[in-house]
Amino acid sequence: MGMDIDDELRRLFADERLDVPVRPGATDAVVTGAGRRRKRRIAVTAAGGALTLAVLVAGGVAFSGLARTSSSPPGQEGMPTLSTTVSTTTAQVPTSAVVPGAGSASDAAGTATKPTSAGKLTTSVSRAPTVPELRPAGFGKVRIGMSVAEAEATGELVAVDLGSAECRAYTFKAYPDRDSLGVGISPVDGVVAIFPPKGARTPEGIGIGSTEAELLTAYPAATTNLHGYRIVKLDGGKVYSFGFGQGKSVVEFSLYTDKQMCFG
Amino acid sequence: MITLDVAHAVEGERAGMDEFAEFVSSAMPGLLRYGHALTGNPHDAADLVQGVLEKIGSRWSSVLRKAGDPLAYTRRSMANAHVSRWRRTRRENLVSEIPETPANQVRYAFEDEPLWQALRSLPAKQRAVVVLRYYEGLSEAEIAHTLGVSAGTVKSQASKAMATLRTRLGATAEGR
Repeated sequence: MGMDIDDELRRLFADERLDVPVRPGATDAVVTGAGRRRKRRIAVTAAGGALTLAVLVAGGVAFSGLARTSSSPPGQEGMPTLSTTVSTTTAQVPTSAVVPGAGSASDAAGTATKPTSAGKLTTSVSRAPTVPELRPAGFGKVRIGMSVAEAEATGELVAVDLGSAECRAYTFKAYPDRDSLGVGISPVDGVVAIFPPKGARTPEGIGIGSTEAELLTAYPAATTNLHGYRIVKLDGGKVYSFGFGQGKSVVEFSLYTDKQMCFG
Repeated sequence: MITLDVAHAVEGERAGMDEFAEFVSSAMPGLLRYGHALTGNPHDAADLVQGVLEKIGSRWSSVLRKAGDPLAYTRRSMANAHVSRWRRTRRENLVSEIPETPANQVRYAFEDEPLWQALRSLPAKQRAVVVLRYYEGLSEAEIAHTLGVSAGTVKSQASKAMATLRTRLGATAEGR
């Protein structure tokens, strides 16, 4: 009876433990991301149906923009349709670089994706029931960039009405999970985000439950974004994103394009 | 004509990006803190802050022109993004899978706080109402305006939230 919950809430919200440390470079990351979104929007507006071009521009800006400082914002590159290329995206394949301290040093010579040192990486093929791989192109019959109609025509999705005009949400028919959305589709850009069901893995064998060491062995060039997600850049502005939550292994795993407006 | 409009927009946005960077830099600590209260963990807070700031920065000059106070606008955008059903569905699924390990010191610092635990257990919209009321100090009418719902909805959500908090804290107290 003695507890006044109003006062307790105010006390809690004034607590210094609520502070979250700001990562170095956070401002630059936000400015870069904002520039990327702006260019994407302008490119789509100006180019109309030329969505492929918009993807390329957005992808190139995203990666080349990482090294910029806030004194040289992305907007200074000129008109989006004249902008940078995607040449840097191919540098993100697993064999392109070795992250110091990641995985075993003997894997350094471009063999990192081979599951030689970790037998469990091969288990996805013998797992039953077999869950398809989450490939850069998509999951099962559902492919990144498919229109709403095309994606629905695969018969693999069940619509979930979330009332969002920018992002239609779906679950996987074959993997019912009432708490988890599987696919986000933009009416403009098509399929933009895929959260595969448990058991799905990348062609390199990484998925829910993989450790950070396994991930870095498969993807030595993986980076860590502002929120701590490990990001593996693919071509066309797509990424694999691996979330570890508060633990030591992957708890959330997705493929999305930088055009998605479904979340964060 | 379209080309001209676009060129004009690009010029305008370009000029404001240094200013946007300054805004981000000074607002970030407070926004992360607010996001922490809204989402219940620092990881989702960072996710929320970055997503909202990027969207705002991508149309910075028009936000300045139309919204007046960009900080207030950002905080309201965060509350709205937070209660969007997509994010709620994703996050609640995510949270349920996260093992309760003390890997993150910031979050762990609250593990012994019954009120914090009770807050985290609330549905996202109820939690947002509580945060807007007790963190932001908004009135019911202001909360309704921010979240785009009726005052009646705010009242009922707040009432449910407070009842849940009282029940949970009461149970905790008795258990001691």
